[in-house]
Amino acid sequence: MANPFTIGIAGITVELHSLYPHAEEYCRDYLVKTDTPDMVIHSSEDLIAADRDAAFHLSDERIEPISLYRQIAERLPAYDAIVFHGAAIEYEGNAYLFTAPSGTGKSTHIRLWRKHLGEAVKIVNGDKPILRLTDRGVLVCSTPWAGKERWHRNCCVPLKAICYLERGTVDCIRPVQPQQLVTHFLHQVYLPQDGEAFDKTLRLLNAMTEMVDLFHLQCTMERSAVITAVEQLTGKPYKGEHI
Amino acid sequence: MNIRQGFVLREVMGSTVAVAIGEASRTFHGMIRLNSTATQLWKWLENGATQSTLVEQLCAEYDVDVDTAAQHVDAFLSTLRTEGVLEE
Repeated sequence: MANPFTIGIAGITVELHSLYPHAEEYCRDYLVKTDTPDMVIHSSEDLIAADRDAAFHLSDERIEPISLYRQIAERLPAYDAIVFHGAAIEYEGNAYLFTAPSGTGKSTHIRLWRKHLGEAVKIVNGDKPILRLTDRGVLVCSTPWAGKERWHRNCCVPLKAICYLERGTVDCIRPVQPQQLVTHFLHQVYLPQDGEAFDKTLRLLNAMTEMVDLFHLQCTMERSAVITAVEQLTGKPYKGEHI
Repeated sequence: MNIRQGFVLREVMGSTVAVAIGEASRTFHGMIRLNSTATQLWKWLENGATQSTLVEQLCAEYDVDVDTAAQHVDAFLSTLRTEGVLEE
């Protein structure tokens, strides 16, 4: 058994007791020291085995971080937080979360933002950020769990908008009501096994989607998609490279 | 007929959805979005019902003719069957 270590994510400290040393390395950008962690999580062979089906090509040591994040995700609702599948970026002080089923093109779209707006665009998390409801609004928070590109930066940023992405033949973005995205979002949010945490997750989702702007973006994978998205999502004129 | 154990109605983002919780969620990964008629049918079904009692109740509640009601009920039951949510 590896030594326990503690990480700080979304303002919550989590003491992790892993079986393998890889987990601490995986979390190296989030390590903190505290005697009184908010959460204590213990890894186990059984829990790793439960995640093995979806990740059969990985060794147990490589599966362990996935298993640990699942345990964390189960407990997050008690801290007014949820895990949401999507890619989040920061631009001019606000965060924008792009969500869609895997393979749709979230990473591609974000690369376009970065390419045309340059360093003003900063990644927050490329795969599974935490959304936390605070009295200052919704924060999007990075974690070590950032997808295969490992796009992440240890930070929490106020969330301004969530954009549901779909590939299309034209570039078209429109504001939408929560009801129009409920089916999509229920497939992208982590739903806990525990009944209370499950209900709390839905309540948090309800509250959060009332507090941020919601958009549906149909886009080509062309540069024109970026201008369309940026102006609507930020509410400001496009300031990037002239296209 | 009944709703299978482990499926509940929840209000999410302005809609009524039927979701699986606990054990049932291990096999059922979807959710069913219900309009107001379907929500009503679901609630009646939770207390146990037959196709004909559902049709009767729908006629009484919504002032529709039997054929229209039967169409709604059959479509609803068909969806539930497909999703594996109906206990017959």
